[in-house]
This record gives sequence, structure tokens and C-alpha cells, in this order.
Amino acid sequence: MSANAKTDSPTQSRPATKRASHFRYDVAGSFVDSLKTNGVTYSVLLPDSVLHPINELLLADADVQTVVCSREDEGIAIAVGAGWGGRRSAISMEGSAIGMSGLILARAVIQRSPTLIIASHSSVLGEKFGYHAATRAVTQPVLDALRIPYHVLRDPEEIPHVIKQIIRTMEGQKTPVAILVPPFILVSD
Amino acid sequence: MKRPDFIELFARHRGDIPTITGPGLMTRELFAVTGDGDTVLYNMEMPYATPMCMGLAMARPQQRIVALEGDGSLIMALGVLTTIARYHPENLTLIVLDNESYSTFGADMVSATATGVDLAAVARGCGIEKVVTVTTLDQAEQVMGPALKEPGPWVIVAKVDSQSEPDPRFVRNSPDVTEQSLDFSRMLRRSNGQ
Ligand SMILES: Cc1ncc(C[n+]2csc(CCOP(=O)(O)OP(=O)(O)O)c2C)c(N)n1
Repeated sequence: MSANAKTDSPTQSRPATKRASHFRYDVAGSFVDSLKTNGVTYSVLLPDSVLHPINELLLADADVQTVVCSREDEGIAIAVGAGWGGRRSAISMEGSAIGMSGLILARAVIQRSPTLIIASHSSVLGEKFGYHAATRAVTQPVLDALRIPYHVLRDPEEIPHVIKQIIRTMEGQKTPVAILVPPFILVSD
Repeated sequence: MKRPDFIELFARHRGDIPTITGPGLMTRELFAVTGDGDTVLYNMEMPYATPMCMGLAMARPQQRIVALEGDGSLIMALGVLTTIARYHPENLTLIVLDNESYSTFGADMVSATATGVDLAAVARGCGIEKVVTVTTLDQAEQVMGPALKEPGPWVIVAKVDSQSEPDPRFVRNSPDVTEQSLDFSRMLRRSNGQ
């Protein structure tokens, strides 16, 4: 590699920006700890306003190799490939991205690839922005259509239990699964 | 360069390197040459052979992984070139069969590479350094060895004739997707990254 090529690595990250106070980093920490406790060592993400604190912690965590993808359907394919390579993988993305990913999710179902999808902006509870209308309209219907098991978080306290059980489902049934994260879980009022 | 000749050349060098192909006639041709062993996963959905190989390559840094795509498939997934450049999986080799068409539907169904898009230049522009365009079998013969052994990531753009009739040796369809995918994943588990 030539001297001027810039390859992404944890040691090359930019100076951290100040953490926004409206995010619940304690909850994000519990989420990432649960992923790690349950064997997730590889993650893919594309930035999102709700999942931002989880994404920050993933990028900073030396125990989880994290890739920022160029679009989330690509990211799901990357996560599926990493799963085939023996890594338990998760992808963190805005709910809209499930709408971009119908085909690759269908492929993951048919080829029986366990992959954990963490997506924001479900249509349940507290989603207030009008401009997320299409996002809300697409997330759950696509998962329903493909019969991908998912759980909508309602209480931060349930995170360790839900992650443990959903990974059990994912590995046992060899299927993609999803955790949908409404804004109030990670963003304070 | 004729596509089936390039495919044969690739198959000769490939050995048992795990390979995922996009859809299209090249899949049938590779199938005709290599059969339905468990080291090739044929007919991945159009834009996903390369990203899947990228994840696999990152998870298996000791094992060479090959994605084989048509120009049409890669055009659908150009963003992944930025991700490959960013994370630089050295064991990933992407081979693009650029016949300047969606030839599965006829040679006259031209793609954007027929009107000047240079996929090698795109890959270089994304920051991938080991990018080689080959237009003859001799050139392909020279580059295939290093591209399947030496640290990359590599992108080989093979300019091949737009030939829309399938290889006459092709006798049967590729196997069931679920069965084939499970075979491929079992093969990967057994090979354990080596
Ligand atoms: C998302 C999607 N759109 C369209 C198709 C139909 N399709 C199958 S093969 C193919 C052509 C692929 O072109 P290229 O990668 O250049 O391969 P070639 O046909 O030249 O072998 C298309 C468009 C598809 N399989 N998936």
C-alpha cells in the first residue's frame, strides 16, 4: 500500500466529537455489552440519529470489528459474509434501510444466514418526525413480509434479556432477526 | 478474449479458493467447467457477491476469497468499492467480466461500460491500488497467479467478448439455492479459515 493510502483502522480515527447530552449512553453501553456477552465480534453500520450512541460505542470498541458500509443492503451482505466466515455479526441502521434491503434480506432468509439487524424508527411509540413517514411505513411491513422475527424494544431494562433471546432465535433457526429501537430508548426527552 | 476461455483460465488457477459469483451466463460457464462442488456459490443476487465476499474475507484473513461479477452486477454495487478501499481486505480478489453488456439478455443490451465507463478507473478512484485490466488471455495468465496469491485487495477487469449464447457444455441448471448455500457454509466451516 502506498504511503498516502488511507485505510480505516481504530488507530486512525479522528478526534472524538463531544458526546451529545441528549443520548442515553448508559443504555447504549448496556446494549453493546449485551452484544459482546452474546458473542457479537463483527458489526456493520451506517449512521443514524437514534442509534448514534450505540454506533459510537461500537466504533470505539476494540473487541468488535466494525465496518461503515456505503449503503445498508451492501452492509447486510457484508455481515452475512462475515457470518459465513465464523463471526457472529450485527448491523446497525435506520429503519428506512430495511426498505432498501428487501432482496438481500430475502436471500439471507433463503440461504439460512443468521444476522442480527438493529434498526431504529419503528412505528411504535414516540416517533414524531413527519419526514420519517416513509421509514415508518417500510420497516415492519418488510420484516413481516419476509417472516423475519423481530422485537420492538419498550424498556431499556429488557435489553440484556432480549438480546440473549433474539440471538438464541437467530442461531437456532438460522435466520436474520431484528431488534427495533424506538427513539425514547436511546434519546432523552 | 472469449469469456469461456477466460473462465477456464480462472478455473485452472482457482484451485479450491472459495468463490461467489453474480448471476449471468458466466455462472453457467463456470459451472460447466467446475461442476457443483461446494467451493463455488453460484448466482448470488446481482449486487451482493462482492460485499458478501468482503465480509467473508475480513472474517477469514488467512484465506483467499474471490468474487466473480459481470459489469452489470458491479455497476449495481459501485459503493462497495469505496468500502473495500476503506477496509482494505488483502485477501479479497474481485474479478469483473466486462463484456460491456447485460449479455444474458443479448449482446445488444449494452451496459454503461460500452459507453465509456471504465470500472478499473472507478476502482482506482475509490482508492484500490491493485487494479489491472486484461484484454488478452496472455495478460490474464500473467496476472491471475499474483491476483490469487499476493496481498490485495485486487480488482481484475477482464474485457471479454459479448457472447450471449451459453456454453454448449452446459447441461443442467445449478442446484437449489438453499442446498448450495448450506454446502458452501459447511465447506467454510470445515476449511476453518485455511
Ligand atoms: C436486482 C436484479 N435486477 C435484474 C436482474 C436480472 N438479471 C439477471 S442476470 C442480469 C445481467 C447481469 O449483467 P452482467 O453482470 O453484466 O452479466 P452478463 O449478463 O453480461 O453475464 C440481469 C439484469 C437480477 N437478477 N437482479
